[in-house]
Amino acid sequence: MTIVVDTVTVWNRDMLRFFRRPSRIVTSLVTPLVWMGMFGYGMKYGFARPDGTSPLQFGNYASYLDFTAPGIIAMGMLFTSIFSGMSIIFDRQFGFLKEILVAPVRRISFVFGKSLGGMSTALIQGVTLLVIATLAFDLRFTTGLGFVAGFLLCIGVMAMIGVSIVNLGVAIAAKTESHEVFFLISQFLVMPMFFLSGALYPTKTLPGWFQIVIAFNPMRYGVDALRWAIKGTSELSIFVDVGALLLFTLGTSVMAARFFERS
Amino acid sequence: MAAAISTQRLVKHYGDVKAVDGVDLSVERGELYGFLGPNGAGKTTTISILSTMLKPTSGAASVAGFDVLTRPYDVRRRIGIVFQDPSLDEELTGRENMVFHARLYKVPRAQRDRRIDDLLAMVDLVDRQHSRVKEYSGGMRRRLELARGLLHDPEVLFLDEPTLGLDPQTRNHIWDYIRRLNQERGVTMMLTTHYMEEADALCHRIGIIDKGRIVAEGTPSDLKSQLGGDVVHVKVQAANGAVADALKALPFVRTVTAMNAGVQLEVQHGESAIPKVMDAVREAGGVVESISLKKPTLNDVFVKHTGREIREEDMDAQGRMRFFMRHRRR
Ligand SMILES: Nc1ncnc2c1ncn2[C@@H]1O[C@H](COP(=O)(O)OP(=O)(O)OP(=O)(O)O)[C@@H](O)[C@H]1O
Ligand SMILES: [Mg+2]
Repeated sequence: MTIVVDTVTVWNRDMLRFFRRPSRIVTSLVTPLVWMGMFGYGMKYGFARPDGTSPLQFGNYASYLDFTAPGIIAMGMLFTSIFSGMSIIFDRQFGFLKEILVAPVRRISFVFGKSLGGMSTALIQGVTLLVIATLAFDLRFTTGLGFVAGFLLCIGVMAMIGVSIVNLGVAIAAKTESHEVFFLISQFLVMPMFFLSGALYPTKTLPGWFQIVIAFNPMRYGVDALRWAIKGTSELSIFVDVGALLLFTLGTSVMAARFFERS
Repeated sequence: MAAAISTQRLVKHYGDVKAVDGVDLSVERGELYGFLGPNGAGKTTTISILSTMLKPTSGAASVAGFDVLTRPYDVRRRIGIVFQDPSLDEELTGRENMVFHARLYKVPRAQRDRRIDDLLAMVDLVDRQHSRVKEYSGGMRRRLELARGLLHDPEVLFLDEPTLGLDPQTRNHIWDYIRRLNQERGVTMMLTTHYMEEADALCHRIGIIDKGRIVAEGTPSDLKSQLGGDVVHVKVQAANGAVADALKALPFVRTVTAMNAGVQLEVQHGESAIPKVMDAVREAGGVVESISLKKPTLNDVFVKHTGREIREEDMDAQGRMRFFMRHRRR
């Protein structure tokens, strides 16, 4: 019971800090929106045939942006969440971590509070992007679930992406002294996770070895699940996607708790 | 009644460095105990062990009646600590820092706001409570940390160099708070410092620590009286042998040294000796022109036990450096 209370206390602090700096919300939106605008539209018109149709227009995707928007939203959340995990390095550097470590609370409530906080910021970002992509870009909800159910499923998938990636960040941060090292490690992880997630291109027709690498990328299931929730079509079954995400969330949670407990 | 803090042969080694090397402590409830020593003496390390943040290499310690190794959570609930280095959330306001702390320590909601108000008033931060800590001066931060450490009504409070790098006025303020807390609330306190006058002015009892060992312990006046008493210098007009003889006859005078135009006496309890010395000089036919009293300092005690000095100037330079590091901005 007290773990829940302490988790909420830590989460509450993260929220206070987040809302104190509106610029953080804005910066978390800028990169994905630039991608959607420049990359999405560029691809849409750049590859257009003389008659106005595009080779990137396939299946029930009205345009390349319609296909790639869920992936770009997931990418935005990936970057934000990993850096939410990094905030414990700053808490350590600025000394605030001592205040928590000497208090009569379990360390695990700090980890839970951090992932809850990171998840909240990722959700705020993800949902805002989803709304903008629907209103201002080509993203169309065509899922058989209907808009409301599809939207709710999106939120669930985003929450899992948020928690698992924040925990991944916390686990790395628990083992690294400086944010420079964290930066290096996270870049090394985050870039492949984005490019090999199916966010930018369908993966079904890729060669076998590529498929194997991709199968180990948790973001692949997140992107696929988001696409299913919005478009109603996906490469894998939604149950496989959600199952894989749950497993990844559980795994990273245990890892974050363990690593932090021992640091 | 069990001691508020006690340690038995406490040892902490970092590789070859013996940070704490067999410390035995016993601090009574309600006592204000000072830990005095130069940089690297092992003060912070000892406090880290007592506050359950660090495991000792060997030895035992208990705080507020609980063993720090086997009952850390019972200890944590009963202690407050002001760390040597900063530990505030700079993005939050002063009050938000307090509320966060109250929640962590489960201060009942009904009392929370009133306690926070009281403590902020005590450290004169009511006006600035809604500013972000980022915008606080060093002294304000220190005062906020002090108030925060008291929020959950701890039985034992650890203060690791509470006035490091602060100006004399702020330092005096903080001394006042510390004294009042100790007197009015009976909080047991363990304070570390390398300022002699701080230990002298505040503490009931002092342990002088050097290279991980306690080299001397006692009340400030006991420690200083080990040095053979105070030095009184009397300048006498028309000095003659009779004056010196009269002074020698006084029971509390240990030695009399004739100087040009006066005498230097080594006495016990200089303040009470001065009037009697003046009377004696007058009776012997001398006229006192001036009189001065030099008290032995804790620095003299430290020198006696270690053969070295806690050099104040060096400390201050280091203190300033640390103060600067502490408050460097993002
Ligand atoms: N984490 C650590 N790793 C290695 N050595 C350490 C560590 N912490 C402290 N030491 C060493 O232990 C010794 C005691 O350090 P400590 O911080 O307890 O001193 P201190 O009395 O608090 O000094 P100061 O007045 O500078 O705060 C020093 O020699 C220091 O270098
Ligand atoms: Mg120290």
